[in-house]
Amino acid sequence: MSDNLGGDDPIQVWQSQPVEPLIMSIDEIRKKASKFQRRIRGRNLRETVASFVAIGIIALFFKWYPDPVQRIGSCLTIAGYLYVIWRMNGPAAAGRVPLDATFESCLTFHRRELARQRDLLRTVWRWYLGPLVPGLAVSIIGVMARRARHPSDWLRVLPFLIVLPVVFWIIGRLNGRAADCLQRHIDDLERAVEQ
Amino acid sequence: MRDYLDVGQDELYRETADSYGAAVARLARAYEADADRRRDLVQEIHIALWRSFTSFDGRCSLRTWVYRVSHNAAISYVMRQQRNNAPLVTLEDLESLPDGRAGEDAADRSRALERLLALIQQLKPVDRQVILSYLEGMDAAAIGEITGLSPGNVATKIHRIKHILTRQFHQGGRHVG
Repeated sequence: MSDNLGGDDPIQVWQSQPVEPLIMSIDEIRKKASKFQRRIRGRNLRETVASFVAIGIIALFFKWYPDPVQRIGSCLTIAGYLYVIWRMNGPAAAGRVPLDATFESCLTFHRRELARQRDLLRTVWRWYLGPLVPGLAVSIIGVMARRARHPSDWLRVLPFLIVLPVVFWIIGRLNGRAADCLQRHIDDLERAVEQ
Repeated sequence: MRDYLDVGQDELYRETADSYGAAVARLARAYEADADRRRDLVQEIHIALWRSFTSFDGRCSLRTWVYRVSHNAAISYVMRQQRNNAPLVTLEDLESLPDGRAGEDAADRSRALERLLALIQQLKPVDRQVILSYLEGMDAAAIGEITGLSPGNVATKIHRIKHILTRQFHQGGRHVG
């Protein structure tokens, strides 16, 4: 076959190109690798710590709740948070591609990982927002049942009853948008690899 | 083949950096055109290689392992950058393009290299991996080991690569493998 790049063998042109190989000591490599690992661990830790802080605050108020309904509400909210922590560190935890995977399994991993994250965002009601709803609802009912002396007292809690679902709805929508964004990324990836 | 099982992670990495450092730098150049970002990519690949040697069991050659890990690190990088990049094409797409640049005079190596890089950087990941392995002088069996593609598939792709290189860069003259 007659084939060249302006008179040069492409393999030769490629291999003789001037490059500056990276010079990093083992210590530098080790430091950078552990920095990367710390970043991953730190992200997971932050999310888990935030949930445990919420549980701690609820538990703190628990002893001041004289009403059994409020206490049941607190317990349900704590159970909801524990479920969220379990989901985030178990089925929702990010996987990592095996370093020596063949090219095809590497791409399959990336596609599967993106699809998994997309599905988690789309089902955020099922595993993040939903589990918190019973506890919050029972807590609110408990507070009102104890304090409301007059039907108009219930009106005072009305804004809260409206704001809370709106906040949940916004969180759901934001996650839905993020899922759509991931879907576009998956579509780009499909286009990039389809043969 | 040398028995690598008795060699430690750090020593394997040192040996790899010495023997394949230039190849890794060339590979990074095929995946990232921007010099600053390319430095980051090269670092990422080196870290991936160093980490990978904790699980290197010698079942494939060191060269296969190095290229596989390096390509995977580069692909992961490309996946993250994908949204900012131009659409990628396949070898088949390149074959069907009009041969507009074939008559240009690629006067020197530097220009020829630029054209070769431009061609590689627009390829979809699997084709980019095959052409890079081909340019690094690997045979079909080694490319199959790295990519996971069947020997037949690799042979077809290599045939296309040669065809494209001929059409895109032909000025008449020398014979290439």
